[in-house]
Parts: sequence; structure tokens; C-alpha cells
Amino acid sequence: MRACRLVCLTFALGACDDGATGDDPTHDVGAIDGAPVADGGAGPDGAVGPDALAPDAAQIPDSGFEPVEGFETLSAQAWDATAVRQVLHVFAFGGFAADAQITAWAAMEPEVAITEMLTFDELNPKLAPTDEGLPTGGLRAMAAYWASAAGPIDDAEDRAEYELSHWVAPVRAWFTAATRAGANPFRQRIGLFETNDHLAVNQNAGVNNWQIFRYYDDVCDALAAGLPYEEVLAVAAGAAAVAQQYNHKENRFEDARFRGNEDFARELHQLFFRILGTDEPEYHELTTIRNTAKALTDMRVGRVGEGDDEHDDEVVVFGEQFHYPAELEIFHTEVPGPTAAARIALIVALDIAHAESLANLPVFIIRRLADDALGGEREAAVRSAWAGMERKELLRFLRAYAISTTFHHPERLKLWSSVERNVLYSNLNTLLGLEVHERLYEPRYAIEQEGVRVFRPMLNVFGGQTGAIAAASGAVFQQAYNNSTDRYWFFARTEEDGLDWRRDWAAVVPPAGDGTHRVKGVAEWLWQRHIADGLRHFGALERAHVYALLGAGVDLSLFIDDQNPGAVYTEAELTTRADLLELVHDMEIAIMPLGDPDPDAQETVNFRIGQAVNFIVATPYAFVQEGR
Amino acid sequence: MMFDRRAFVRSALAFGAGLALPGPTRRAFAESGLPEGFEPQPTLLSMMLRGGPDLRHLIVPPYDDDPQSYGYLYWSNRAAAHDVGATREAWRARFTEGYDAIELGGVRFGVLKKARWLRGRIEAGQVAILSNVLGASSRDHHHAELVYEAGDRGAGPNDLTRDGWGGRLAQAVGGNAVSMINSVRLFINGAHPSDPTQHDNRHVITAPDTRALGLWTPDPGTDPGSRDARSVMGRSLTSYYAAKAQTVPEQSPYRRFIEHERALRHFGALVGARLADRPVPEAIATLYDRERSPLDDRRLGQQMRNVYDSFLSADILNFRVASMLSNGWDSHRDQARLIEPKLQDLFGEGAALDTLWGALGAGLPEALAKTALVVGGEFGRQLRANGDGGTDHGRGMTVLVIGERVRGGLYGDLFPDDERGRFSEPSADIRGRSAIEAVFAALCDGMAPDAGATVFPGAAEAPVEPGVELAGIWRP
Repeated sequence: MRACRLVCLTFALGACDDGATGDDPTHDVGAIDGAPVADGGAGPDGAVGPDALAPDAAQIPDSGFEPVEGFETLSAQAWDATAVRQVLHVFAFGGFAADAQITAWAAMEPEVAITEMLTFDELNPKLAPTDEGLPTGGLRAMAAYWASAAGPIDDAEDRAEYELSHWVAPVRAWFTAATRAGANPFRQRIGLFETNDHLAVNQNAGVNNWQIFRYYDDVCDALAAGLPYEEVLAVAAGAAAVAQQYNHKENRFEDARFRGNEDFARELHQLFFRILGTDEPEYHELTTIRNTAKALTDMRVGRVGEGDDEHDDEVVVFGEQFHYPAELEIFHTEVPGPTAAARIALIVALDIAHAESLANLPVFIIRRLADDALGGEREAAVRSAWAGMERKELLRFLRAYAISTTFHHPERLKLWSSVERNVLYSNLNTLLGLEVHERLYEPRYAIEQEGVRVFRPMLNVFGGQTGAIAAASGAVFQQAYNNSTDRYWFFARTEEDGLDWRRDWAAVVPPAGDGTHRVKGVAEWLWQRHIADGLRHFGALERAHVYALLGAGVDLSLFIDDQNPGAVYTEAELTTRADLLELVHDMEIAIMPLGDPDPDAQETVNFRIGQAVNFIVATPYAFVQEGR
Repeated sequence: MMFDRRAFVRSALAFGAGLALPGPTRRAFAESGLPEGFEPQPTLLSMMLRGGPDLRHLIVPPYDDDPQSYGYLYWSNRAAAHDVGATREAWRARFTEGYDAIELGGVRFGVLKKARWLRGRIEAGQVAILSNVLGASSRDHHHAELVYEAGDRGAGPNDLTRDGWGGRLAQAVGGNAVSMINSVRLFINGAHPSDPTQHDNRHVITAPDTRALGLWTPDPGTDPGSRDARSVMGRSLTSYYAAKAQTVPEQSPYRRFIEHERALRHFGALVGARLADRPVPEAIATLYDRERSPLDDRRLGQQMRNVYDSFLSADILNFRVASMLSNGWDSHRDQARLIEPKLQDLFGEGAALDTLWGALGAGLPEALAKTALVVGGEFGRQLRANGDGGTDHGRGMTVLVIGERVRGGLYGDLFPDDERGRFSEPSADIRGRSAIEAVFAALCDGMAPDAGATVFPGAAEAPVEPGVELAGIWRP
């Protein structure tokens, strides 16, 4: 490994202008994320970064945004850079947009901004800018690119892990796609949600790489095509990965008898559409589920390939020979069809209109993606919005929700799952494409240490770890906390053996109005970048600790009194004791030599910023996003 | 659920204090590292078999040639799930070769040979086999699991943040619940003091790796003022959380992380010190050793280690309830291939529970004497096999309770006669007769007198199968 090329891999994440105006050299709190767009800055090595991509709001044409009745759109005044960041954190693992781009989105009408922010296209240059020519064709195509000598990865062993038959290929490809600019992170976020949580399949159940890649890409493509949601779920229901998972690939009607299991017959309704049959359990159990099992007959998954490459196929062949030959009553409706595919198309239309699905499916989606505390008026709004969409398109629904007062509500709580939190902070700390390909900030290890594996969901078909599960676990907290102490180097390192790489926060941290980088401004910028709360929780206590790490490179206790290491200073002390107030004030105006030509100074300042990041991502505020 | 915890804790402590140790066990006790005078308390271990375990595959009727007999109907309708042919000879052979015949209370049945440790416990009179247990009315995994974990048949499918019966039990007896896995099962969620839709988990300790429990701290002897990067971060976060704990309100969504930090710092240091010079018994260490483990799922071995360590640290942890988990019991296909290795992992000779019991018996016999293990899942499965070599979802289920204080026997009709006429009915399943509230309340009573009524206030009204005396599940 190592000795990667830098050509075409450089992209700067986060611009140098966001919050950088005003006369106060220390950045007032109000300046963060509130500044007008300035010129883009130059990325490392002189490359022009995406800062320059900031669009002129006035030039945005008709966005094509479709409002959804039931969601009230946030006022233009409330739609600010913090709101933009909150959307990006929840729906796009933070995204890779430059600060200038975020500021520009905040300056637009929310309806216009959101259509740029959230798309299912494979590439979204504003959300995930890159100057590298990533191929289209889905996760599989990207994996092939990363496996190729023509791609950006020099090391052959590393490239081999992206080869389709390599056991880790889907996981490796997904993490690379989710953590690198260029591969639309909103698409990866929803792709993960659908294939690992909502319509979950599990490699532990024998779903092979070919099936996983196909499943992931087909579902994402169906979403990108703007299909009605039930048709997206029909694509999933007819997938080989799902047939392998539940084994209904063996279901057949033969010798005048149904042979098979009713596992997916139940879960198609229950997990895909959230229908339990509550109102008529006996009918649901004895008629709908049993007949659905018969409807799912003759969905064969053949063997393909030869020798070591032989494997179960990635597509289902829908046959008639062993398919149930008569109409089947499902939800009190006769469902005809010569094949399972034909029946699935009819069944999903019944499912999506079912009262239980209308009540439960949108709530499930929003709870899982964005609001663990969903209830009351917000829950009613989500249901109403979903029910009111005659054609239920997920993208339209999520866009409208993301700029609604339902999402931007003070009682909304998003508890981060291990994947969400670690990928988010990985992305916010990835500044160069090189860092992705060298896996410098790849979060997979940390996630697996927290007991979570992608494409092997913790609850099998019931999905992966939720935010609520993560938040309840002391073990998850322990791992996260220890990552900031025992594994402090992960975010704080400034160089890597054998690699022509140096950490360079100067490329993205905005200077103050006088051109300097002051501790206070850098601290606020870091907090807002990671926590995105408009500095609401960046109180005196947090500030004092972060300032000490940035300004002095030591912890607060050592900074205040090196004879009393480990001393606890309360928020009350920090806001009332004159000696401490003076110390904190002196710290916040201290100048950090970001961009200093002296490499030693650069190493020091970049290391300190990494330590400040370590602190921020271990605070309680790093585990939850709270609405506003 | 609400209860008067304070009054109950008093009675529970009195109960525990009355359980004096026999003299011979004190030597082993002293060697355990537990402090002199510490009295082990009754402890409930819960092993959740997630997915709906078919315990009718573990405990089966003997094959019988009489076509009207239960033994015939069982084998003729379930041959596919046992991966045997459709002949009487095959069924007979499967029973003979796959099962050990036992007679209990006048009922003859077979126990999977791969579960020899369990058979030994049954024969020792230490296994209560609770049949026809009534849980959720739904065959939905999620809802049924929620009902099972809450111990409340009235729990709704969206009551995701409510309390569980293990958590209520821990609160009732004034103890803590330890999760042996990364996540926290709803089972050990404690009752919230004011909001029945929420839980309070201040009594929960998450310990998926008891040998690495806690937050990073510098090695002893390190300069307390070291400018080493780890030390800087360690001091910074330690100091921050100590200060932050004073200002974050109890109701704050951030409070739980403050509590995690406090619990990990407190218990991590003490448990780490306790275990530092107490190596994991070799037999247990082997269970989760990458090269030597006899288990199909080594993670189960680590859970056994965590339980063992929790007993070694019982005074520190105030250990009263353990939460364990085994995944993958949803046997719609290839049932024999799927669940028999799991059953062997759990109940086989030299496997997980056998090894744990052996280690506790050798090192902490007084703790083992007061321990009960409850094994079950969210629902049972259908009476007959499906067309895929498996069984589909049912409702009524079997629950096993194992322990030296358990009065072994059959609590419920093992093979109800009325099922004979239902094998041919579509989707027929076990009819639940003894409600989970009544069953679990009886188990709670073994942890402290009258705990059942505290944890399950409505248990007295819950249905119980005629002839079943749940109160008799504990030896005097």
C-alpha cells in the first residue's frame, strides 16, 4: 500500500469563508454559518476545490420541488446554514459540500435548495464534489473502478478487496462510496436504509456478493427513476437477494400442493409495508399470508458461473410451471397472475393503500431515518403527508419533510446509530480523496467494534442497529469514548508512515476577518461542523475544554494549573471566577498558525485540531441531533 | 408498571440475608475474591432465543406406530423439519438415533442427544419445562418479542421504549441488570418513575466484554500531569464529564450519555481491579477461543465468560439479572440443520451452559445454588412442518427454567391431546394456556418473596393451565 498518486484526487471539503466575515477577529457566535458567500478558497496543493462551486441563488431555475400537503415548509428566515447542516447530517452522512455551498443553500428558498441537496442521482457534484471521474452504473460499477488498476488505488491488494468475488467487496465498496466525495452520500444513506434496515437482507443468511450488489443497485436505481414507492418495493420483493434470504426461491406448486415456507409471504406485508393484520388477525394469518405464499411460487434462482466462480444467480427467473395456477384472495381481493412477478405487482398496490401501511410505513421511515422521538403532531403530520400523496414517491416525501417544520422541530431527536455517527464524523474529517483510498478515516473498524456490520444487520431481516439501540448501550458509548482517548490518533494524526500525506486543516478552516485563525473561531467552526446546533450547546464548559486543546495543546486542567492535573472546573466556576474568565478570554483570542510555512508549526496546529475533534465527538452532543 | 420499590427492596434484602451459605462453600467463595461477608443473592439469567425457537424440536414425543397417537402424528407431520423421509422406519430411527428417551411425571419424551447437558439437568430434577406458554396474540417477531420481553400481553407493537420484566425485577430487588451483549434488550429496561411509555435504565450495566469494561485510563504510575496525547484526552474528557454531570437535567436527552460515562468509569475501575488477577477459567476461555472453541457461535462463549465474571464481581455490580441473547432461531427452512447446532451450543456436553455451570460449581457454588436460567423466545412454531424443511410462526411456546433451586418437572401438558386433531388444520400452532405474566411472576418469586406481584401486579388474574402449580417451581 502507500505511495498513492495525488493527481485528480484532491478535493477540499468545507470552504474558507463560512463565518469568516465581520470585524471581530475571534468570530462572534453569530458569524458562524451566517456569513454571506465569499470567494472560494484554494485547496491543498493549489488545486481549486469545490469552494468555487458555490452557485448564485438568483440563477437557480425552477427547482421542480413538489410540495407535500401535510408538511409545512420552514420559513426562509428559519432556513439557515444550521438547518442545511442538520439535513445533511441526517440524510447524507454530513455530505461533502463546501461551507460556501452550505451558505449558498441557506440563502436559497428551501424548496430550491433541497432539490439540489437531495437527489438519487449517482453523482451530485454540489453535495459531493469531486474532480475525479467516478463511473456511473451503481455501487458495482464503482467497485469495479476501485478494483481496477486504472482507478485511484495503487495497491493491488487493496484493489482486490473490491473485486466482486472478494468476501468483503460489498462492505468495502459501500464504505468507500459513503465516505468519499463524488459518490452521492444521500443515495448511499437511503440505499443502506433500504437494504439493511427496511428491506433488509443478510450476508450471514447466504446472500452472496452478486446478489447484494444487484439488490443495492436495483433498489437505488428504482428510487432514482422516481418510481412510486410500492414499485420500488416490488423491485426488492422480486430480487434474488430477498429470495435467497427467505428461501422462497424454493416455493412451488407441484403435484397439486403448495410446497414451501410462508416466511416472506408474511414479511412482504409486515416488513416491507408494515401491515400486521391487526384488525383481522385470523384472516390475515390464514388467508392473506397463506395465499401470498402461494403467490410467491416458482421464483427460481439458478446457479451460474463455473468452478470456484460458481454461485447463485443475482436475478430471479419467474416461471409458470410451478406457479400457483389460480386466482388468490389477498386482502379480500382476487389477485390473478401467471407468475409471481405479475402477482407481486398487484399485491404491492394493495399493500401501499392498506390502512395499516398508511399509518405505519411513513412513521417507520421517519423514525428510522430522522426522528426517534416522533409522536403527537409530528407523527400525525408524517402520516397525513404520506397519505395525501396519491403517487407515493420517496424522494418527494423526504425532500418535503427535510425542509418542513416537522423535521425542524425542537422536540425532534435523532439518536445516531453506530453507522450514522461514525460515517458522519469520518466524512467531516476527510479532506482529500487520498485519505479515502488510504482508508485513513474509514469508520468500518470503529463501527464493527461497536458490534455493527454493514450488510449483516444485527436484527437480521428486522434491520440493523437503530439509533435507539446504540444510545441505550453503554458498550457503544464506551467504544466511542475510547476512540477519542485510546485511539486519539485516528483523528489527530498529521502524517502517516510511507505516505506522502500531511494533515491540512488550513485548506478548510476559515480565517477571521483579519486573516488570522483565532482559537475561538476555529473552535466554533469545528463545533458547528460536527454538531450542527448553531452553537446552542457550545457552552462555557465545552468552550473552555476545546480552547485549551486548540490554544495550548493540553487539557483544561493542565492549562489552568499544571500542579493540579485532572481538576474539575464546573460551568459555574468558568463563568464566575475572574481568574478563569481571564484565562478563557486569553485563550480564545490566541492565534493558531494555520497555514504557517513551518512544517513543525503546521504539524502542531493540525494535531491540536484533531484533538479538539476527539473531544467534540465524545461529548453527549455527538450522539444525538436535536431539532430546533 | 409502577410499584413501591422502596418497600419491596426492604423485603428483598431481608430475604437475601436469610440465605446463609453452607460452610464447605465458603472456602471456594473466599478464593473467588468476593469480600468476606458478602452473601450471594438470587440471580436470574435470561437467555433470549431470538427468532421464535422451536423447542418442540428439542423435546419431542417418542415415535408411536398408532396413527392416532400423538407420537405418530408428530413424526408424520414433522418429518421434513427433522430432515428424514416419510416412512415409519425413518421416524422411528430418527427418534432412536437423535433423541434420549426420558420419563418425567409419567410422561415419556425425548431430548435431543446433542443437548446431553440439558438431559442431565432434567434427570437431576433441575429443569422446569413450562409448556403451552401464552405470549403475544400476534405471530409477528417484533411484536411477540416486545410482549415476551415486557412480560405483558397487552404491550402494543409500537411500545418500543417501555420497560421490561427483567428491568422491573432488578429495580424491585434493588439490584442491577447486566447485559452480556453489546445492546440492551427491552427485557432489562427498568420502569420509568412517571412515564409508562418510557424506561429508566440507571440499573443497567452493558458488559459485552467484562475484561475490557470501562473507559480508557492511563496506566498506573503514569505521571498524572503527563502531556502524552492519550493522557491529555483522558483528563480532558474525564474532567468535562464530571462537571457536565452536575448540570445536565435528568430529563435531558443527553443525560443517558452522562450516565453511561459514570457507570463505565465506576464499574470499569472496580471490576477491572477485581478481575485483574483472576484469569478466566480455561474451559470458559476455550469457548470463545478462535482456534479451539467447540461452539458454532463463539460469541455465546464470551457471554458465558461475562456471566462468570459478573458473579466474580457480584458485590460490585450488585448483580441480580443477566441478559443474554442468541440470534437466528427463525427456522422456516432446513430446521434441523439450522437449530440443532444452536441447541448443541447451548445445551451440549462441554458446550456453553455446561461449561458455565461447571465453572460456577467449582469456583462459586454458592452463587450457582441461587441462580436460575430462563430460556425461551418470542413465540413457538406451528405444529407441522412446512414445505421447506422448516416450521412457520406460531404463538404458544415452551420456556425452560434451569437451576439447583428449581423443582424440575413438567409445568403444562407437554403434548396436549387436543393437538392431535389439529395437525391437519392450516397454520395450526400450540395453544397458549399459561400466560407469560403468571409464568414470569412465578420466576420472580424465586428471586425474592412476592417479587412476582410487584413486577407483575396483575399476574394473579392471568390464566394458568389447569393443573399447573407455578408456585411450586421453586424448592423451599
